[in-house]
Amino acid sequence: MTRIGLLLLSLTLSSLPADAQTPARIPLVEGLVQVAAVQRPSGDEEQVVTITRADGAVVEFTVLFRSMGAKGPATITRTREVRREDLAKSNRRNLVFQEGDPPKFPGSTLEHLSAATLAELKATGSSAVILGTLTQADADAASGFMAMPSGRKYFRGTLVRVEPGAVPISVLVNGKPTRLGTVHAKGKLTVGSDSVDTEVWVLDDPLNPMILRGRQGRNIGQTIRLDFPVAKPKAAQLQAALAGGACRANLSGIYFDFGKATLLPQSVSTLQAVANTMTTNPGWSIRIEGHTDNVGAAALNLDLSQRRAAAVRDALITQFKVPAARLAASGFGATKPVATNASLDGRAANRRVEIARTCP
Amino acid sequence: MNLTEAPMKHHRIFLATLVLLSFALSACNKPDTTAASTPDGGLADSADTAAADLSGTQASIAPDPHDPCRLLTAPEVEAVLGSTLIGPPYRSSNPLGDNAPWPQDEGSVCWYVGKDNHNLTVQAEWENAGAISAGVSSTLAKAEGASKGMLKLQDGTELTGDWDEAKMSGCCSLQAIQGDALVEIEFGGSMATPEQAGELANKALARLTKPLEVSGIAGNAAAQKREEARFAPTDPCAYWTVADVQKLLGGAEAPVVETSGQDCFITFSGARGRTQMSVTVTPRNGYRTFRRENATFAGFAAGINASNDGSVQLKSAEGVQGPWEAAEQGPIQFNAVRHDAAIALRQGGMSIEQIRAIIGHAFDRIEAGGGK
Repeated sequence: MTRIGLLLLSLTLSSLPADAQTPARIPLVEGLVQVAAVQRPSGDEEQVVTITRADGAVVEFTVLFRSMGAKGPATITRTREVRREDLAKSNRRNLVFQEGDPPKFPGSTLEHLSAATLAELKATGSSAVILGTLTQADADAASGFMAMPSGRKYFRGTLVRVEPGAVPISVLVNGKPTRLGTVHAKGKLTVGSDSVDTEVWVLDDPLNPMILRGRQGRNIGQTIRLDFPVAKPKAAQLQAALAGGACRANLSGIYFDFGKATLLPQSVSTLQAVANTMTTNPGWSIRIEGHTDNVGAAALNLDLSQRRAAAVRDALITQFKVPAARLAASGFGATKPVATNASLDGRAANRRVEIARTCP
Repeated sequence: MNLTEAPMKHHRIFLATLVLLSFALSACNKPDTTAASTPDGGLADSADTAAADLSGTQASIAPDPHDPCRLLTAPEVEAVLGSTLIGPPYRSSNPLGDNAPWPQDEGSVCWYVGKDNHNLTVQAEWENAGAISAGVSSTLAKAEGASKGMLKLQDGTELTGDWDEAKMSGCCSLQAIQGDALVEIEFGGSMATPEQAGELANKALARLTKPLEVSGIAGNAAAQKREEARFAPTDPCAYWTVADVQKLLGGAEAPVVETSGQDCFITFSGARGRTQMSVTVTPRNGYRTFRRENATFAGFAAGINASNDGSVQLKSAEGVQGPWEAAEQGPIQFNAVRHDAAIALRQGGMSIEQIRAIIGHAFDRIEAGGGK
């Protein structure tokens, strides 16, 4: 059983702390980052979807596909623009990225049902949809970008709502385990003699009906993290947390390459917030702590957590000019969990970077 | 969350877009001119007429389910071309290249030819279209990448229709995918707009599962006769004699007219001394060539202009008046088109009057069927 396969099979929707709260909204704004674990028969991968532009006409999604290939971890980046009018009313999704694709497919969304489709599902219990994807055999073999698929086909059919009420999905939202209400629907879509069984759990928000969990045949994807810019500056949040009694803060918004200690560009705003906090408080020294979940060998987890903590420290020193003497780094592997390792979202919470101030 | 990145590795590639990469290939597809054996269907000015004609001449032939001529009626295309078809739709193998208009019974392309041989083609793939489109896109993307931004061979389109996705390639090829099928409308041989091509694509897509009860082969014999009657010499210098050039351009010394490959090189005495030009004549399917070359050059020029500090700026001038329907003066060559013939002239130091004279003479000869 693969790593993410184990994670997904052990998914439980009710494993969150009792104090978890549903936020008012996951905003469809520039800077929203969605991290998903994807399980395919050919192997697991991770996808990081970032909204890199959001204006009145278009939302631009940048997708990092990250998987473990034969030569080690591999990453590829693709961009797709989706029109606002399609997010509002299109019933077509195009999930496939291919070489030579134009930046935009008018008439299609990417990772969203449209507001109209969501509304119809809620009002009538079903909605006709079109899904641009690979055949099941190609999707199984796709393994992200290691594939030799036969091109996208557009499957047609009807999604039927499964449960009449909202279905909660557990996601780490801005570092906090959170239940998000979704509408669960499934259907069999066909084109010619091909068909695909598909299932979606879509965020119950007409302003951002993003798909938090999806299944296409034997391929399953689950959102495990959502981070988005908040009104309160990150530096101010860090300042408050580090100055408080615990002298400790969880660094949500830090992203690493798959299975590596390489920081991704999406981490910049959080690193900048740490640097700003250190500038504001010249007397502070902090320790950067890396943590993992308990999947995999303990020694490897310990090593990875140490290297990731060191990577954050190095970035703060070299890119953000924080004096090295004020920064320490250490890794703890899976020895200090903050949530259960029996659930996907719990493990996502345990894979983290924290900073701790040396309190008086 | 089941996004998929899917690079292509294989697939047969047939679409017209690839001919952009190897235009010469399409010049070799002239069929056996004795092969056509279907009866002359005569002119068809409406779908009913075409169907009625065919019902009498093709009774014993089972309709080809993948006959591309079953996707659009003559009146639908006539409305876009702005003229009545000069013959019934017919099957050929390719929309691009000098010899593309020659009919072929098994051809996968349906030709609709109107006044002045302005034309429009349709072809389709009934299944596996995503794979074909992906293979073509991948190949074109590699070519674009190899050109370091100097070439733009394909693009998305803002057009929306009944299709699931659509793409434009070259100047004038609209490929629309619906489900697992694809329709390609090549409108470079006409004055049609992308919007009009989109309307035709919608109609063709709707007929993929319910095609018209007509046969494209019924139009092949008439097309064969028309093509045989056209003046389309293989010698690129067949349009001018030495005496013609002397008369058209003057000069103290006798001009030299010599063939080199697909070009005619003409050397004459001009105001700036001895001057040489090379001329390429596309006697059939020229309108498509004209539009495609201009579009390709425009993309190339845009790439050049964007890649330097402004010291090099390539520009084109459209609307140059002369004995042609349209012309474009670019820094590399002068392109002109009249009816279905195109002429590209590359030179240094010729006046526009001299260009008009040389090109106009060739157009006149083509229209006169080689006489004059």
